[in-house]
Amino acid sequence: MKRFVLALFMLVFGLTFMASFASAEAAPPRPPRQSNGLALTPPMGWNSWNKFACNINESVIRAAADAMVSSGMKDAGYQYVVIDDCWHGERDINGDIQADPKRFPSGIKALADYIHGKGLKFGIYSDAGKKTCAGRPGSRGFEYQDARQYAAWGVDYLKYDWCSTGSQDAKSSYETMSDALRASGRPIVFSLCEWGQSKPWLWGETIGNLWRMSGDIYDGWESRDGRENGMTNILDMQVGIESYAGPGHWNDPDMLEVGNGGMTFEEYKSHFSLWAVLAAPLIAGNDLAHMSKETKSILTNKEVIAVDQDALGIQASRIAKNGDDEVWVKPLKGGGRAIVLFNRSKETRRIGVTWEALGYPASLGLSVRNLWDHKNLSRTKGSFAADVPPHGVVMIRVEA
Amino acid sequence: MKRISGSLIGLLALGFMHVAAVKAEGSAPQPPRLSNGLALTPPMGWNTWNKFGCAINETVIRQAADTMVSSGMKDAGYEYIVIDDCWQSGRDAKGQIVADPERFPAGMKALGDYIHSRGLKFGIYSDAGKLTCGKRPGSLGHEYQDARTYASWGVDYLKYDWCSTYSQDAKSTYETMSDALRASGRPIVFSICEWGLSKPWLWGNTIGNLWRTTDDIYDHWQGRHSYEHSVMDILDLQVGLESYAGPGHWNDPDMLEVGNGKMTIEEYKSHFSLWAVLAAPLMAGNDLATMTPDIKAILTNKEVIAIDQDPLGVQASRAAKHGDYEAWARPLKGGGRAVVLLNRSKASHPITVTWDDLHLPSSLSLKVRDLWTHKDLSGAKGSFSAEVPSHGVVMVRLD
Repeated sequence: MKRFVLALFMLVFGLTFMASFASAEAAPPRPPRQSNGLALTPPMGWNSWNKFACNINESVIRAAADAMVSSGMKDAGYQYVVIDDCWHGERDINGDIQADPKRFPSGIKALADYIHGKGLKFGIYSDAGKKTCAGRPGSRGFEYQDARQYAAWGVDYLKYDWCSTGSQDAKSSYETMSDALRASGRPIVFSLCEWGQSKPWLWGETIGNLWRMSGDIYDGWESRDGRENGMTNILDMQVGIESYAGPGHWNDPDMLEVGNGGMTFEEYKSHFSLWAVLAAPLIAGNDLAHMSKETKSILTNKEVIAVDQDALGIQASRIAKNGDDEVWVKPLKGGGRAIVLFNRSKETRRIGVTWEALGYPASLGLSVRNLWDHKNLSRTKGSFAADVPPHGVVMIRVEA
Repeated sequence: MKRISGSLIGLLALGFMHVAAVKAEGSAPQPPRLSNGLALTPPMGWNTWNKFGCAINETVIRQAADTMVSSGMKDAGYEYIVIDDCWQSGRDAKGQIVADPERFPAGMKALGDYIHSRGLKFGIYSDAGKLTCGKRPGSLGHEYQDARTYASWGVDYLKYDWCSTYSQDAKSTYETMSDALRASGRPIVFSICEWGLSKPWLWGNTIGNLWRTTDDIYDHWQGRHSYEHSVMDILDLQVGLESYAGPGHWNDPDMLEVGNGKMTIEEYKSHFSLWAVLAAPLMAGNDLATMTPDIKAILTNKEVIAIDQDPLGVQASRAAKHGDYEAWARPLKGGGRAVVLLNRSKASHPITVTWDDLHLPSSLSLKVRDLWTHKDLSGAKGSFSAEVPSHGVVMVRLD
């Protein structure tokens, strides 16, 4: 009987195989993949890279966790403390990845426990290739073993980079780690850092929870000195991929540069407001222990954060662009809208939006709340306009 | 200083990512890869699949090892006993691959020891995807762990299949297992079984020791059956691939069907002769314990095997084709030639190969040795002719 079943199985398999050969594919279609159920709103936290790059150790990470709580960031919704590249030591004789013993003498488990003890969550970094971008051991060929190790350490979030991947196929590479994380038995948010090269928005939805759609951000207003991904350049790349974002699967325009010094206060406000309407992951990238009041006031603006975290999970579209004047609109749960009037020019501009452009009847009276002044403006019908400072925004929320 | 070098690395990394983004590539160029130094002549052995499919257990494998020795196959040069698909049952809590405890109660280490005690080598099978073709656990994401396990079992040879790989990139996938096998510290011959889909001859040279050029063989003289190829079909698919073969890296036209019953003795002789001039891996796929003297005579023909194992490692080209009548020629170390005259037709027919076909001066006189009758024929000058039976070959060595 067993042999018969086996023979039958081989027959069926052979037939499927034949079908796949005919279509020049390597395998039959698979059952639809389910998402992991995590990150139903965009993840919020802090990551070591933008400020510290490779200069990290357990003191830096603990200080960030401490400051996350003491600064009010945690109360504002920030949750994940993510160690980016350069935490790794070598693999041990069993192939298990170890932390750099000089930088992390207490070990990663102790660090995770510390972070969890603060009521925060713990994130870590690896790479889909043989080596990370900074030349540490990547996870290629070790995916399940690494996922098991991360779970044993108490990891809640994995950022997974794309250096030294050679000719690897992105989708299947990320899928392998996605499967490995799920097999680990621990819920781990999976951040795809593939730089958008193979359009991860087309395949990432059930593989990861967020995917980078560009190369690394740098702390500047726009492209310069051969560096492509200034804040506004990444913003422009969002147009057309809005529909791929939603609860559990987000476009990731990269981490925040707010507070790192390369932009003005007004520009950082724009950066933060725009990331919020984009339903972007809000991963701070500055030195939390030494941030100014201004920086803190941006990062902890709860009304702006509430827009980012809106349960509907719709990414803003640019509904109007007249030269340097732009209007970005994000529909909110309950029928309201978050609106960013954005002025890219070097002088103050008056920028307006009509109810028609927002998809409302012109006769509808709406309440208008300014999310930076924290003030209710007068109830309005038909349209709204405001003076917007150079490189700045006016961000409002309108509701019936 | 350390911190400075840290930031320097970080800066370089950013630089790389930038360049990568500009070039729309994933990474910086890698240093040239070296081969593993194994299989300097085509591997010879036996594999379970063609005869037993999934119906394997440790008794079947031990018997094959015993017969490999008692039949004279080992003396003729066969070395590897390879367990194909269906030996696995699952993974343990640490992700380690586990052999099916019902089929292999003594475990793979004991089986490897048994095979080694017969003076033979031990081969195993896995798959580059999530599942093997027989739906056992594949090695995807477990490559280093599996390679380490194989090494601890004494594995000398890995056949690595391509089922359930979906959108995976073949080159980097095989490279990962290749790296993992090397990291295991044990010399393990690496057999790439990717069915030729992404032209492994273009990239397999330093990744594996042999690569399948087609989908599976089946025990048939000509034609194609669903995804399976006959002997003549596979032969035709070798044309153009000759230059990719060489010591340590061989085109693999798949395992032998000699003795599996669906072809005539004449056809099996052709199959074996052609695989030998192709410098193909000679992996027997029949039931060694019950093979007839005719079949044994084919598989253990040492003169034909010597052609396959010629240290020059040049794969035969088709030197002439006139309808159903072909001449395949392989240069040998020392300047000689192995020549197979092949008659695909349904009637016996004389076939001639000229020295022009063999790129030799027509004035040259050569000794002729018939490798199936094991007799020296009269010398030849300018050409060699012989009557070749239907679906048969005449195989000679010219020196």
